[in-house]
Amino acid sequence: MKEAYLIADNIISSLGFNTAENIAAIEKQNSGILLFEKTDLSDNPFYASIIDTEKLNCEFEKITTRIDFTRFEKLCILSITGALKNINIDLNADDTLLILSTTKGNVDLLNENCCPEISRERMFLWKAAKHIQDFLKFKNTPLVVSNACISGVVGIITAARLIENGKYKNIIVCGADILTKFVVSGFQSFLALSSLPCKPFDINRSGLTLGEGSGTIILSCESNNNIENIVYSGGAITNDANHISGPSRTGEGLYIAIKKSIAQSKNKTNKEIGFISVHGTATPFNDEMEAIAINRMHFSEIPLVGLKGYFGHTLGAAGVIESIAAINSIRAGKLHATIGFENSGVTVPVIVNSVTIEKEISSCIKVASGFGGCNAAAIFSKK
Amino acid sequence: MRENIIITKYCKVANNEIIVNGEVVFSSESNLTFSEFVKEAYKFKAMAYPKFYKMDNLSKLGTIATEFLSDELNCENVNGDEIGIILMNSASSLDTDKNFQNTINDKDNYFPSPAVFVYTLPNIVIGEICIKHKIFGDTAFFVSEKFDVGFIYDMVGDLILNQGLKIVITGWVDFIDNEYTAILCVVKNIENSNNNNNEITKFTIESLKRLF
Repeated sequence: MKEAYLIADNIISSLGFNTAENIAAIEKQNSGILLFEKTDLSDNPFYASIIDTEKLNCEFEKITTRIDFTRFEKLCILSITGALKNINIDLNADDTLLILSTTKGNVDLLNENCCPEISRERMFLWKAAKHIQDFLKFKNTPLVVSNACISGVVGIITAARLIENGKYKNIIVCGADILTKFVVSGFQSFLALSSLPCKPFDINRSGLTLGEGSGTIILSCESNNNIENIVYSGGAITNDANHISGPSRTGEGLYIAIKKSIAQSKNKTNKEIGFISVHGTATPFNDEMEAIAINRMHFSEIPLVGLKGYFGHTLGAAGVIESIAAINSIRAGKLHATIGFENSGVTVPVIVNSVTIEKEISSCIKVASGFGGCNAAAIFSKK
Repeated sequence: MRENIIITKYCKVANNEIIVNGEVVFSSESNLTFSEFVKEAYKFKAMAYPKFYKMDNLSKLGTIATEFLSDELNCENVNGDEIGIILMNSASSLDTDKNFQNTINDKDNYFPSPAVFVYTLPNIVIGEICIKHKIFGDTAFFVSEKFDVGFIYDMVGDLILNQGLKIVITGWVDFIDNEYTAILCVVKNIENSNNNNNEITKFTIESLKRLF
């Protein structure tokens, strides 16, 4: 089997329009979450991580003057273009694939007042993907993953497997979701939103904070000699088979996902795994479930890092954005801080990292969980 | 070994008919809506699974199709985490998305419901099937204009050859504006299997093209 190298990336969020700006903000422990009064999204003021529309349009105009793109499509195109900036990949090649991970894509088009000039066909995720494909001139039809909040990690795992099997040389995985009234009202109806910026794993956590953004990570069977080589070294997707809107109380699905990933990876022990990048939505049930699954693996001594306090929960983008941050942590030898966390609020012992510290790291586990009882784990390691 | 991967059963649900391995096993009058049809099919199968009535149409469609394949999932020596589900469709969860949007359009008639919102994700149908049949293995939902035979062949093959799965349910489950089609099949690895396997066809690109 071939190796899947992680050769380039880009993050677009309220914290910046490239990976470096976003990582610099994380290292300084600056959050992108602010209080918004936007009646088009919610009747009441709410905390969220939202990208400035003027800045977004200004960045997008540097790429094209065409105006037939939605907010979601702009985020995807900007991020993919950003990731491709310093490397040479032929998008028109038979062995290059685009994987698009999203939960809701252009769902704002369901509102008839939104972007009347845009064809409603692009509510279909594959149609939006095709629009992006045509603009960026990919030869292959993009693969669209829509698997709730694990979509981003599923995109990366799928890409890695296709590369390991020699099906493609380069795969560009873009995860993106925008903040819409649809999503805000849905999470509000679940009473899942925190009235303050989210506090992952904290005793006073009371729900999640939503965000929007896009992340792109490029996997290749060939290494990029300009950067330290990090590879995908194992991964699994599982289901709790328990409940469609709540995680398993025993962490069963996530436990199996981590166990299967570790079985594939060359890095297996507490000492070899530098940290676990948690899903950490800051809902009471999610964080408790993750802690239990990690405890069942006897990984309680491995530091946990949760990034929802910076970006909010960016849904389909989260897994990609957080994987990029995790890979950056390994390269830079810096463990990121879980902002919002002060005192542990889960029932089993965990070490949640709360300040940026220097640490030699050779590998990490990225995990994610979502509605539908789905879980995913992926391991990234120094080559 | 690719030669040890076979399709043991397949089921198509469309036009108010349920077809298993090419034979019509259940049908109802063509003028029935999907909701009426699927209720009849549920009774025909004597499912006794009240959760079924809470599901959205996409989940009902996938769940009923899987019900006709479920005897293939109870194998000795196969654990729940060795079974996976890979599904694909064109409309994602747009049918339920539209229903949810209708509950938030009008400020004076604003009633978003968590019971509807949770179904605004296409992978919920996979979650429902996993709950019903205690499936813990690799599951994923992909969205494509048409059934992507080449990708499904690669992905399902990888799950069985490299990711430790013994059984994968794969196929197409699409529902929008009362138009629907489900075509699901059970793919098995018969290497080291002591079970008597009902081989319908080898798992090949050609056989997938014939079924879908």
